[in-house]
Amino acid sequence: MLDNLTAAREQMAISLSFHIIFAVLGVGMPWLMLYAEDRGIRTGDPIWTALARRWAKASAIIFAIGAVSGTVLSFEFGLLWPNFMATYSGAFGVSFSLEAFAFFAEAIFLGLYFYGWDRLKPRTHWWTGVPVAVGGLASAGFVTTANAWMNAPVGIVMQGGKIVAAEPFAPFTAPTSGPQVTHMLLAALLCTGFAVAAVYAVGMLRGRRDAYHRRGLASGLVMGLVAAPLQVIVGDWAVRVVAQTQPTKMAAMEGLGHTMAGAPLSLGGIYDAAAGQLRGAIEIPKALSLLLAYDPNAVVTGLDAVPPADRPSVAVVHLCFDLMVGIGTAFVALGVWTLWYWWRHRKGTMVRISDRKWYLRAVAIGGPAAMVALIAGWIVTEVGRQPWIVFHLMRTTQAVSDQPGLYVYFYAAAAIYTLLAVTLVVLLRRIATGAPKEAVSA
Amino acid sequence: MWEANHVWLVFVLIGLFSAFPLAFASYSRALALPLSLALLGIVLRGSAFVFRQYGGNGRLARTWGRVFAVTSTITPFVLGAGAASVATGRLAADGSSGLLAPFQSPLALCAGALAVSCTAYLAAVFLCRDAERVHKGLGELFRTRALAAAVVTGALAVVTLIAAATDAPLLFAALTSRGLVFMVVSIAGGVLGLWLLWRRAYRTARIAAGLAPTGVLWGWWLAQYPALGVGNLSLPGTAAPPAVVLAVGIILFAGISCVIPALVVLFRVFSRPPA
Repeated sequence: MLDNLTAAREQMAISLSFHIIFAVLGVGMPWLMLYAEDRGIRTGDPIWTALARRWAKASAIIFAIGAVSGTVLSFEFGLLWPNFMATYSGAFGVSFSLEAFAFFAEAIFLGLYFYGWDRLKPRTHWWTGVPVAVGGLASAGFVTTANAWMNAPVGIVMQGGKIVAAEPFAPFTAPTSGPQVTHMLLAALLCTGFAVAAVYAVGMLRGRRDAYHRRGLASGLVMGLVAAPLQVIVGDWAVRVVAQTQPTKMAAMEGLGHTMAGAPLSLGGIYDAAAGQLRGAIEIPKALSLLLAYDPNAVVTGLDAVPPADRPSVAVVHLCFDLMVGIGTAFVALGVWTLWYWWRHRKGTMVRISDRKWYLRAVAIGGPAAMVALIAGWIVTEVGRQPWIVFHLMRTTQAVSDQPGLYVYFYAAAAIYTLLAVTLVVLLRRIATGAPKEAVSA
Repeated sequence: MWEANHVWLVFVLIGLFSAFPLAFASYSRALALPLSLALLGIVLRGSAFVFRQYGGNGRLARTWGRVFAVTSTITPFVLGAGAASVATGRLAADGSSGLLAPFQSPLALCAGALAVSCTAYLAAVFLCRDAERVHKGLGELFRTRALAAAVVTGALAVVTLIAAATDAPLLFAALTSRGLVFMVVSIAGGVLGLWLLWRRAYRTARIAAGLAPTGVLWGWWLAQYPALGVGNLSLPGTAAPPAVVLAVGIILFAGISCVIPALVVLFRVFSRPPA
């Protein structure tokens, strides 16, 4: 039997991992959809229109599941973390209210877009998709500011365990907001791009190498590959802000047990909590100090700066951080690989990526890999903040519900999400039937 | 495609926890079981809707169709029962009354049943016109069901009111004094809806039918305000700092006033025949 804290945290982990995948695809898909429809209108090419329609259908399913899993989260906030909500939900109320509004607008215009295909003029129809794309980005951005506030709470006055005054827009002014929002939105575009590219890469590996698949692959790939290097730059910014605002999280990300000058960058390895150091990691001397402070001998705060009770699970955070960075770096490498093909193609060598099996396999793996990186990144920020739910203000143990038997909810949630995931995969496989007839004969 | 219910629900929940954090937390604690069951219903119903729509005609779609039917009944029942249990004023704000407490009063059970029959009635009334446009016989089918549901709902409403007199005497007293106007509106809406349905005036019947539950909800709100119904809390006492309440209020108001016209456009485009 699980204790309440573990049960509540695991349930939150499942619900958020499930939701974040759909939320992210819901943010990215409309941009691809608009691009394809625009090309279709400009060129009159039915293949582009067919792609746009297929993506609209996928967006509708994704949005519906995203909306359900989002509703679940709003309930879970109260059911699992009543003390946290009672004390702090006012502080990020504006973020959520704005998110609700952006989400509502997104929902309505997606409805217009979806049912407007044969009812509106092509260009008018295209415009109904614009608020969907903008609303998706906005709602994801707003909700991320609430999380940024939990990482760096600012703008509130507490008295007797109660907020007595608050700046309504405090979450937007939290120092963590800028990098977190940018990182999240880029992640949404990156993950969607690679997920879409992966679908068509699998289709090509199965022998469907028509123009429909080539364009589907190229559209997703370009979005993902452009986002990847930008994400490296934003990630670097994010890490620097983490080092300033939450040095313990930074130390956990790098598995740095002791505060030291000239700290190394550690890749991999398993953290030995007793000794306060990583075992079996590859160390690049002084690289962490150099990266964080542009000075190879700069002092970096280690985990020993705070008592053991105030440290997160280093093993989890360090592994997830390396996983995220590793996958991100692999995407940049995939970009270089793509550029190389493109350059050879321009030089006159006939290179068709649709014939390059290993390249297609790499792209096919890129889809799930992007989702792994996404969830790993989320774990870094959430587990890395532990034992705090609101950094330095409220511990997660104080936030959790004291209602007996939360583990029942956890098992129920795990069972339901498994059922939903299985059905969804069956369903999406049914939709992915290759190019529609009108696009092939065209 | 998506369910407007979820969007509204998210709106309501977010509005509540943003502006009245303690009210949200107290309801979550006191009504843990009904809310969890509602959540279960919402998740399965929402997913069943999507899976059924895109799942073809096979066994998968049929199974999810059944899930859809069952969960569509559970959700209004537990929400109705949970809301009514608040009116009894017997629930503790910290959840110490126990998980089952919200269901342990005749009023809660009656209100749960009332909520189910009321949603069935509303759905049938709203579908009459659309069904008639598709096929005359289908419209008649929905009309018969709407009439039956109306009679059941009316009977349950009377029973619930009697239960309220004993289970929630304070609320009952306020309903029949402060909230009387709304109760009259509700009863008028119910009777009028029945009559319009009988006359096959489906469009106006929709409005009349909508008045019945709306009247009850407004009357209830007026009768109960400012008590939260759980513990001794009052709504203003659970509010976030004034600046936040103001900002959230402005955002929600501005949001709704942008969203409603867009929703109207959506329904217009939707009812337009495809080119």
